[in-house]
Amino acid sequence: MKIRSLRFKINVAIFITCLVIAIIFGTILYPFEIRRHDSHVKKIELLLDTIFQQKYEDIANEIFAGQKRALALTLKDMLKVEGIAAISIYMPDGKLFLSTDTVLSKYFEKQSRNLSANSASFVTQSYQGKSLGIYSREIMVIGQKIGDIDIYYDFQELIKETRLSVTIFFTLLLTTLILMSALLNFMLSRFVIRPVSLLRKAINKIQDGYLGETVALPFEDEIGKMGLAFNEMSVKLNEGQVALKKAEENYRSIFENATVGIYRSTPDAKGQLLTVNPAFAQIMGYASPDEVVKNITDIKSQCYVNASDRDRLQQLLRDQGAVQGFEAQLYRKNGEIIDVSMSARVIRNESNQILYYEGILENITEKKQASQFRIEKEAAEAAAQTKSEFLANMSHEIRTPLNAILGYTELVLDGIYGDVPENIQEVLQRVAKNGHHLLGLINDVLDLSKIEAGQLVLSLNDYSMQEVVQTVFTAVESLAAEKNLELKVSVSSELDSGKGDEQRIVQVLLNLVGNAIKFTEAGEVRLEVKDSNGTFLVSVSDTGPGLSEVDKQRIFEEFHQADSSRTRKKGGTGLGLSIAKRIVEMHGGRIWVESDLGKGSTFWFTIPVRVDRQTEQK
Amino acid sequence: MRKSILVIEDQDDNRRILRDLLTSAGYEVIEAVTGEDGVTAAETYRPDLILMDIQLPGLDGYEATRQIKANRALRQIPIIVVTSYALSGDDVKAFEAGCNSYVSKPFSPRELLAKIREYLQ
Repeated sequence: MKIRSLRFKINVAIFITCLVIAIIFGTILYPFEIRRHDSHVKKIELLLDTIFQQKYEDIANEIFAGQKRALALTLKDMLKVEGIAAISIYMPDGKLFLSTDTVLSKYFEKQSRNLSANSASFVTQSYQGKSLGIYSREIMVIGQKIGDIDIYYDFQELIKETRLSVTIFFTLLLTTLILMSALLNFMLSRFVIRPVSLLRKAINKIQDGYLGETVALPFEDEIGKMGLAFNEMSVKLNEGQVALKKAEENYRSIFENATVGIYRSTPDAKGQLLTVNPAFAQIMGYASPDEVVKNITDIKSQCYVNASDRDRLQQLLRDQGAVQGFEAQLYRKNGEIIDVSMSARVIRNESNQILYYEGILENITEKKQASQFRIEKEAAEAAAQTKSEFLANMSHEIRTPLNAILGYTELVLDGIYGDVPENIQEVLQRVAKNGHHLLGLINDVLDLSKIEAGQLVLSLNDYSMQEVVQTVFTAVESLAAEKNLELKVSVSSELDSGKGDEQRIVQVLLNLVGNAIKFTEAGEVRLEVKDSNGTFLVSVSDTGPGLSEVDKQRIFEEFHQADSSRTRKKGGTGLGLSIAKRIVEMHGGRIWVESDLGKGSTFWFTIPVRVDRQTEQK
Repeated sequence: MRKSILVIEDQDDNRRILRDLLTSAGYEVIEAVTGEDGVTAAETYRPDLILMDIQLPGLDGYEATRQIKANRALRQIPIIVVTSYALSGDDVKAFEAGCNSYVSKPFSPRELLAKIREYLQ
């Protein structure tokens, strides 16, 4: 169908309206016009009849007498009457006798006449484009027909009149049509076409993407309201678009910035990547997502270390529609093998055909290694646990009989079972001494193995350094007195309350002071404690033999003693200092020795006044 | 009248050492081998002092100490706990259980007697 403009349609409607009006008016006016025409014709007939009657005598006489000239004059006289075009006189045999217009008369000569006497006829005939009324009458003289007369009347006037009225009618109609059309066109243009065209332009702009475009219409009629509704719609559309854009940006940001790889791939046997995010490219060792899409055209053979993994994944996807945590090994761009975990699902269209797969990819290489490491670590810890349990049990098992040996020996020495000869007493004292050495050794080994297994946990509580020193002093006082050594203690009176494992600190200090007493033959042992900047500084000095450079470096190592022959004599295990070192370090402190051969030694250690957390041992 | 001491100790040798030591020092010695027996003996004999070993089969020394100290009739009996190793942390747990004092193995007979005499004047 041909598309016509609104203006054309309206104009056609107007035209059709006018046509219908013309037809209706015509139908109504036509009978009136006919009747008017008929009455006019009658009047003319009457007029012609009257004229003829007036001249009848003259004409009859002149024909009868054959006075053609007189007849011609009479006829000429009759012609003066307006509208009479010509008059012809015919002989009774039909031959023309006389005419004012020979040509016209000749034309009608052959017309048969069939008129009864005294009766006249009036017919309308067409001649040379003119409409002629022909009045015909027989001319009778004393009952004898002497000729016929035809008077030709030209209807020109009548036709002119009719034409005029028709012309007026149609002119009026046309004027109405034009006026209506002009007015309507103007109205249409102003109230409909222009606003609609404005609206259309705005709609086109929206189609071009300029959402939020509004239109200002001049009138508040139906179209004006439509414009307002349109503006509202446009603004809402724009808001919706903005919100949509924002949401889209959000998701894009997630897609772009996710640390897991996100991909979409074709579901065919080979598999091709359609879209990937930057993280995917990074995981697979490519510079950009575009590079991935361009280069990986056959996922199965390019990426999979075991192509069967891809088949298995596809089978799972076909069967279940989605897969989670599917693990496989993939090749990166540089050929490096990585462990990945994939979660994917199938996207189908309305007719249930698989369109593509989409999913996420996570590099779990490190995680796997970490878990491997954890397994190994747990195994190691379990082994250490077993070892330390074994040691704990062993030391208990060894200690129990040893305690019995020492107990009996002391009872015997104390004379509970009766008097003991002096030589046996001496042997028994050696038994006791060796037994105590063995017991110390076992205890130290147990401590050290606990530390090494990471099972020695400090119990961190508030303690007073003064009390620690007092405990140590009480424990070693008699030992020093036995050797006639002077035991000097110098503790600053205003020490802060400490936090740490009190028993372990006692153990360290006891070891240092014990060693000092053990190895010093004469002179003094001095214990000093100061605190500065949140740290206790403890020193144990003696006037013993001192240490060589080599010894100073190795003295804190396990089973090392400055002079092993002397050690045996003194009954040490060689583990005390290394245990002391571990304990100090677990408190976040430091232990060291200053010594010169022959000038005595000073052992130092520091520990933070407040220890809130155990320092892990390497 | 001789003072009585309840020795709760599962090791034969340790029990004998304590018995010999204490008997020679002039005390009456009552012996129990398990924690359960020890608690029962404490109720039955109302000793003047209890020597409690920590590592006992079944009811251990801490729990036995706790039970005796929970008994209103026995609460005033001093309990000296014998721990296996001074620095193992047993002593803290023993005090928590309610003991009055402790000695650690290997104890010297003289020290132990001195400690007992503190409570049995």
